[in-house]
Amino acid sequence: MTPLHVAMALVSLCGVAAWQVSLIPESLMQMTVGPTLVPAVVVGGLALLALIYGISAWRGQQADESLAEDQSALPGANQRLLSLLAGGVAFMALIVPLGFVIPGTLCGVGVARSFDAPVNAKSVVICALIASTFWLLFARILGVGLGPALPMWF
Amino acid sequence: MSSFDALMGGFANALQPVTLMWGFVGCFIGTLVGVLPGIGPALTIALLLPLTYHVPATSMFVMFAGIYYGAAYGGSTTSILIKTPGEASSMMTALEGNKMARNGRAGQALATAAIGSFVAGTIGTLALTFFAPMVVDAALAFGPAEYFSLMMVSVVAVSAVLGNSMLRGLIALTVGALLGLVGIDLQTGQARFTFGQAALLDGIEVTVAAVGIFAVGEALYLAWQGRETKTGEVMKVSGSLWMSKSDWSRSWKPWLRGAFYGFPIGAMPAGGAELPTLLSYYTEKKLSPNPEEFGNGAIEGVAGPEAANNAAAAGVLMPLLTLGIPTSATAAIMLSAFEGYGIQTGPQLFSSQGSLVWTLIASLYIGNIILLVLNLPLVGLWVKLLKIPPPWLYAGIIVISTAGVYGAGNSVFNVGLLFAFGLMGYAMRRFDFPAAPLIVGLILAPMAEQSMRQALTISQGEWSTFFTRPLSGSLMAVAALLLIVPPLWKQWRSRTSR
Amino acid sequence: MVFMSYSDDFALPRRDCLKWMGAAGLAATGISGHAQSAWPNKPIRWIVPFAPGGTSSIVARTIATELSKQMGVSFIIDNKGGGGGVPAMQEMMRTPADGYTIVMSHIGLMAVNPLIYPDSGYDVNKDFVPVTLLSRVPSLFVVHKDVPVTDLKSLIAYVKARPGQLNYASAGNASAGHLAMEALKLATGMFVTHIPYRGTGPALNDVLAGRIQLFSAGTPALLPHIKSGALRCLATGTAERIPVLPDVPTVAESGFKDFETVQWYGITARAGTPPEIILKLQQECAKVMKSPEVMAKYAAESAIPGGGTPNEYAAFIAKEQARWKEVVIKGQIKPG
Repeated sequence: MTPLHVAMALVSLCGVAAWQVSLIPESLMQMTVGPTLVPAVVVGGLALLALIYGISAWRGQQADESLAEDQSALPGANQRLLSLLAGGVAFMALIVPLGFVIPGTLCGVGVARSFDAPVNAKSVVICALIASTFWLLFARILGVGLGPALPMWF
Repeated sequence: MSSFDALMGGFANALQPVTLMWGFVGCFIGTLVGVLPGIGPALTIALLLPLTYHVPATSMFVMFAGIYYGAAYGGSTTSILIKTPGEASSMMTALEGNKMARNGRAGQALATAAIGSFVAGTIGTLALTFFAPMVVDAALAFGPAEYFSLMMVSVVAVSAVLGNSMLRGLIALTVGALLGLVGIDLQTGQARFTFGQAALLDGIEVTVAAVGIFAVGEALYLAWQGRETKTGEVMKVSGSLWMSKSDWSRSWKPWLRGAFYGFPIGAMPAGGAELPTLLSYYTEKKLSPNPEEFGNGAIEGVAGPEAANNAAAAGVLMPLLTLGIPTSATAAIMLSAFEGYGIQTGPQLFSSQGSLVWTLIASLYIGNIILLVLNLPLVGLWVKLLKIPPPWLYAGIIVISTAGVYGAGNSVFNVGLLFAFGLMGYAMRRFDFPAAPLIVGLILAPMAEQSMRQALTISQGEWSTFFTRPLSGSLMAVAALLLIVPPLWKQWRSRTSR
Repeated sequence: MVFMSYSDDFALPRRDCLKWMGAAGLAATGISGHAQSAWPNKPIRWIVPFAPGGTSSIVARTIATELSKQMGVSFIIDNKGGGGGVPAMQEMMRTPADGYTIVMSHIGLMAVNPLIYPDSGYDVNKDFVPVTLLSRVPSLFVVHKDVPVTDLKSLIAYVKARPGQLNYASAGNASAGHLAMEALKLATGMFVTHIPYRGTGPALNDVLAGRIQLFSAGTPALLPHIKSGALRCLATGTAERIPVLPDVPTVAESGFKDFETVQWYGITARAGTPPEIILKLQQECAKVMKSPEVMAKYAAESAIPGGGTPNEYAAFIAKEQARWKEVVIKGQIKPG
């Protein structure tokens, strides 16, 4: 991923946004400023800025922190990134059917893995402890709506 | 009976040992729930309010005051230590305070936040006692045109947080503005940018975006880098935990200035606490002799916004008590709380229910003090938390953030948004796009658009209304001056110093 | 009631405190993971489709407080304002039909939205079941004190003399106040510009400041200001004069026969919620209606308490839906 990619992402965002703006029907009500003016202005502004950024990225003038010395990513960067995100996905997929503790544990393990902790029993236990403590404290004692701790059939 | 005597009467009611004990309990649980990212003071109070009905009547107020201020304070702690803003108004604290923590000055950051919150809360409550009607009248003078102009001032203030590159900062601001427009248009009822998703009809919640970009984004970036585990501990804690003399001298004026931003804007409907923190940060940066420190851990950047945050919390009480108008979700919950306690807010409040109200106000003072007493010693404890090895620390951070966002709305969609913003935050961190302008854009864009359109409809299409109305015009002038003068000043100085 | 202990009992033994906290905590969260215990055994989420501060929130909070005390579980108000209430209903659609989430239904949501937002993804009559009508609150038509009119007739003359110059605020598109004003405009032939706000709170702020001249809302939010003189009530939308404002004529009296707009609120649950739960909730609400606090509050605002059966509420909704269809179509209350 390079700044140029970022610029392209921004420009495509503008494209999608512009398409969405075109979908807004003009209001029949009388008003000085309708529902499309401000979105159109914002999209236009972003497009302009994205273009400037893109040109400067093309010329190699844009920052990429990872290229700075001793800031670069150590090998395995993408795996770590994906591991953390996988934890998030696991949570989202499982929170409704499985209660809070199991998805919370999985999420925690994913995050820990992304910080180089091995996936082993110790990791699972620690994360289960973290998830359970949060559930006990916030859902049970304080009443935050986190759903049941464990699925019904447990 | 003069206000002061009435206040003393209120104190007499409130200062009993049992009452104080319940105050401590309130502060403690308020802080705990406030710590949960995504659960702001409104939800905290809503959740904990029923507990207050079970305690003796005099203790109710102090317990409630503890919960209220405690919730505000909890968010600051997580902002400083783990860069996880409890709600959007803790964003500035998360920016500067976390940098201070990473420089080994976590204790000082926490201390200045605590003391600043106390000072501001006290000033705010003082203002409530003696100046409430005046402040409310001033707040009422703010109509849509004035709001719009205030937002223009805020947009200029964003320049303080644009970071190293104006271009990238502006891109962040514009992306934030675009995201802020997602949802149903108030004037026409049209859905905009929602892609047919019902979950987006309400727009994108600012807290989700803030927690996502700050906390999850940071974690993603550090995980990607892979260097956290190599350096040993997350944050070194060097030297003492207490504020040095220079810290004190650098903090006290920001506290005062922040408080003066906070409570008028907090008293306005839709004013909120985010604008004052932004304005305070901007002011401190401009007034500081070392502006380059900002963004790297300047204590003023924590002291001012924290004070502004708490003063806004106190400011919210003014229209609530004097007019019965709740100006935020938190205020609305409090309205219900007061009704439960038998306080009927509105124009006749002070005359018809004096003693109850003064007891409440006295309780607010006391709650403030209890919070300070409770939290300062805890600073050492909080800082120890940072010694947890990174995998478990970050696992805890992500799980607590996810829990908070999920619990706040019971919405898996929001959790998805959280991680999407996290990914965005990672990219922003990597390519040096500042996060604060995005959040500010997210907050300001819909408010500014609404105010502008309301103002235009009221003035029947006259664009000059923003300049001809006196208050609005002066604010626009301030915005213009703030924009034009500093670069000109710099130019003039460099020319004369040659 | 809580205040009876105001002057006694300062020394609460520590054990009792812990017992209270434990009881409160358990009552609030219930037991998880086991077989279904009796409803309710955990907090109930009450979605209110408006920003905080307006009549709907006030009514909801009053009743929620009483229900919480009566039933021992907290009723948590969840304000989800904006979008005419559509997002709130859609949020409701995502919750299970287990009786732990209820939504406050009102005139705009049930009678008007189906006409304005035909593709909102739900059908108010098929996907939801009425639980009970909570309250009918008189709509008041007020002006800022500086507007030189004394009653409805002089207002009409004043407006006709200044075409297009006067504005009225509302709590949002298709809110009760919006509908009431459009009904009034239809009946009287006035034209005033509509300025929507996010909820009664912000709208009230601008009306009090005098930036907006006209407003219509329910009694709870407006009464303190009418009494203090900041606002002047020109007419009420009820069939008869209301006790708290005996000097204010009704719109019908002022020359527009058969005019009636009341704001009404009720509780609605998901279709598929077990009927026993619906009935139990309705009965608890009926009990709450009779509690002294609620009765006092309703009387102070001239609200007519509900608490009737689900079937009665269903019939009422059907009637209102027919009635407002005309106003919506003629008043062009549509987005876009």
